[in-house]
Amino acid sequence: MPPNTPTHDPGENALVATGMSKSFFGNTVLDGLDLTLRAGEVHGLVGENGAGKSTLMKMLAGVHTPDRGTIVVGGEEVSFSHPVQAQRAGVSTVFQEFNLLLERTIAENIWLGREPRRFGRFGPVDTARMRRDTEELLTGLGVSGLTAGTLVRSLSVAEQQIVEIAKAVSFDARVIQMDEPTAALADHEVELLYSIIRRLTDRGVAILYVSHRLKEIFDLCSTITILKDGQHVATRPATELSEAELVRLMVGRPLTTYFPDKPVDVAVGDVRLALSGVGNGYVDDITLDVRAGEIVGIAGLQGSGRTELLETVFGVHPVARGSIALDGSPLQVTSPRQGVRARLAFITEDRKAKGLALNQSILDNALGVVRSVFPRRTGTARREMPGVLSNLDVAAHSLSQEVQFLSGGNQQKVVLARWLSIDPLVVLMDEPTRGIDVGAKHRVYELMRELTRQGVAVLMVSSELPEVIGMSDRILVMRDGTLAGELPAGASEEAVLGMATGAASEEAA
Amino acid sequence: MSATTDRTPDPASTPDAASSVENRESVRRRRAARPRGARQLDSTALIYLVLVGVIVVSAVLTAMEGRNFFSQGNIWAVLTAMSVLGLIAVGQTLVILVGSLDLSVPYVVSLSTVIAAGGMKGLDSNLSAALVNTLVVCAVVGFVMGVLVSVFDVHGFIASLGVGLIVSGYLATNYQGSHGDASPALELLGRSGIAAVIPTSFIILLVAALLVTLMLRYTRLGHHVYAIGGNRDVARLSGVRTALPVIAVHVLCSLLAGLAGLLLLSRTGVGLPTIGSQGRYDLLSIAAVVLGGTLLSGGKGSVVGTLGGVAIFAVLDNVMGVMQVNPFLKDFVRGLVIVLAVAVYARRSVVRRPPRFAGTRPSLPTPGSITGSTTKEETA
Repeated sequence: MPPNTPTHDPGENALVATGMSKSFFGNTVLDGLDLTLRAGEVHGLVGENGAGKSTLMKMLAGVHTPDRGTIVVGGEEVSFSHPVQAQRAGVSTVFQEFNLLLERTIAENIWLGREPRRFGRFGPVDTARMRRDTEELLTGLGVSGLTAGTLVRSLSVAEQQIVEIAKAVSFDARVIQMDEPTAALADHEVELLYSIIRRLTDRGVAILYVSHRLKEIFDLCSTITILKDGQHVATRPATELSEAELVRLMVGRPLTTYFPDKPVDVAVGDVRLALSGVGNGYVDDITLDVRAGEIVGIAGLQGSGRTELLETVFGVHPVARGSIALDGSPLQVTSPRQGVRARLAFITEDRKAKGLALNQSILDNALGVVRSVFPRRTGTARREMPGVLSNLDVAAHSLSQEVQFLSGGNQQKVVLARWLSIDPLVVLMDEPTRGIDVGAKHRVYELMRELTRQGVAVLMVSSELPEVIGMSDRILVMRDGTLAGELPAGASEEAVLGMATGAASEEAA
Repeated sequence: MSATTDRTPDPASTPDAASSVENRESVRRRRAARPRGARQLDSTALIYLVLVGVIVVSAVLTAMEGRNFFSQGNIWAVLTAMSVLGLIAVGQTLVILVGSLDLSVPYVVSLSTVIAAGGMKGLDSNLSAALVNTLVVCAVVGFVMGVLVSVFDVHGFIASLGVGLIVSGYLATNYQGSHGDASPALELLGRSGIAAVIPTSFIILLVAALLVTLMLRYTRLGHHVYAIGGNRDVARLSGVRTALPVIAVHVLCSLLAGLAGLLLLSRTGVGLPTIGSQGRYDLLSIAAVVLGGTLLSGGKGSVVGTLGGVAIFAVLDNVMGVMQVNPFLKDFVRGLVIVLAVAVYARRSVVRRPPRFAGTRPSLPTPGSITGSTTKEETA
């Protein structure tokens, strides 16, 4: 079927999902959600991290199978057990992580798995047709300057995204889902994306558009669906919503009160860690300080450079501009090892990939850092470790148990023990409570308070707004690799989110 | 490129020129995402450039020994030396492209010589039956490895190591010393060629390489081999059936190794149960493939590059033979070539995340640091 002709009447229902529910390991992630996408509309899907947006998209994309619920595409009920089935049914998805083969050409990526063949079933691949069809697809999207034979590796992120969209379109999609499509794009590239989206909707394609950037939602979408904690909050025409209203609907939940109170006996001391004008390829012009006994939270959207900022302090990325000082004296770290030597601790966001050696024992993991950087203190650390671990309430049969068999919360406690063993001056935490249960979370929060009592400076990145607001003495908000502003403890979620999205930075500040 | 980067003003310090900076910024970012400089040679061109260099140096060294590198006899010798390793390396290329590995090739080569020679018993009338028999046995060996790798998820390294050991044990128990006798027609083929310059065995290699190249380029199987080697999950999510291509390339690899064994038999005249392991075709074929620019992790590479790698080894061996170099030094030179080549490729193919801001110096993550995996950052 020629991919570039309008095939779907505008206004008809392209996709109707009803009662979509999904739970993982007993946690309900999505509960009875209804969604209707009309042909030719851009439908915004918004909600905080963990609201269930990704889960919904993945179910519509055939990655996850819904526990309950029905999906009707173009009047026919469908069920997907594989992404290819969804694509064949007309539901294509452009994920944030591109599914592209970097060493293959644009055409080979688009037609992968269904390469056109000459002379019937066993003929050779029709490379000429692949090229022609690819170029037709790209022209149809209004893209010039990309040739079908270009290696995907040599493309910019925006161009790779175009390839993903072209691939989605090539299935003659009725519905295209886009997950944070602008997260990695520069401003003028966003314009190109907008124009592509408009072309698609003109053809009657329905777009499900997930983004944290409220400006884009209002620029593009005609209808907006708001999710919160796996529940459907509202579906409204964009014209009936203001940004402030939207943010209120997204976050409108009571601030849970399981954060331990700030101890009264902690006096915030002198400046421990100070960054002035720090910049490199990932972050720019970062000036901040963290005092002894202080918890500074860093909020911001995914991809706003929060992780990179911590990595820069820790020595993973070199500092190109500006300077870092620790306790008043300049700190020059060019490798994580030097970061550790300066007694910085870095609790990484992905503990399984970067925080732990999963098939090694609890003890080996807990001693990992001290052993490699301060070998002479290993003996002491080994003697103290059982105490440290039991103080953290690590639940395990023995210290020789492999950490892969621990729960997420206990794994995180092992990570913490690993870093406590160097008596850190500064603790850099990246998503310290991601994927751990409430009890473990509470213990992590308590530990953070204990650390401040000892005069440790804590710099914490978190995507969970209640956590940032509940734990931090001050909140720094990052946007596009720079600091967008600072908010005091107890700021509202609206204020943080507004500053992070750039939606309402004036009134929030 | 770095010169322009140096002059890029700090975006934050010039807010009034923001838009123009933004544009230049994105252009720069785009360039950073590309492999450094579009003018950079691709690895196949590079390997053939190196080959030309090696040939020139070898010609000079041979001339210093008072001999002619380009004499008919010498060219014949080099091309003959290429053909056996070449066939094996072509098969190894396929296996490596799909993300697997085949360490069993030397044993399959030996197996092929003894089975074929044993079947022929020196008679032309037994030739075709023995050939079919041999190739079927080789195909079965490859099939077993393919199934182990694709269905049972055993890494190719282990699967082929295990199968290789089994075959080697079978050979050692059942065959002591030479076995059987090649048919006269096969031996004639081993001596034949075009104009006493190009041996038939080399033509067989070229035909095999051409067929495999066409397969990689123009069949779904070929496309899927690259796709699976590049990223198995992406391939699977795109609806590619991932088991079939893996099995197919293992079968092809073993068949090509069997063919290489037949070429050896055409020269030796008898089946030799240790000829493959003496030739160290496992490591040499992998080395030739990697030297030819194929990624050891799969997904990228070509048979043409592999032939270049094989040619470099053949020329080096030839000149060292002419110069009567100590065999240990031979290995030393081979090892040096492999390590240098891979070091060069590694430098060229560092995956970079395009930086958000212009650094005053290129502030890119170093290859070995843990930053590589931060590209998939923050997937909530």
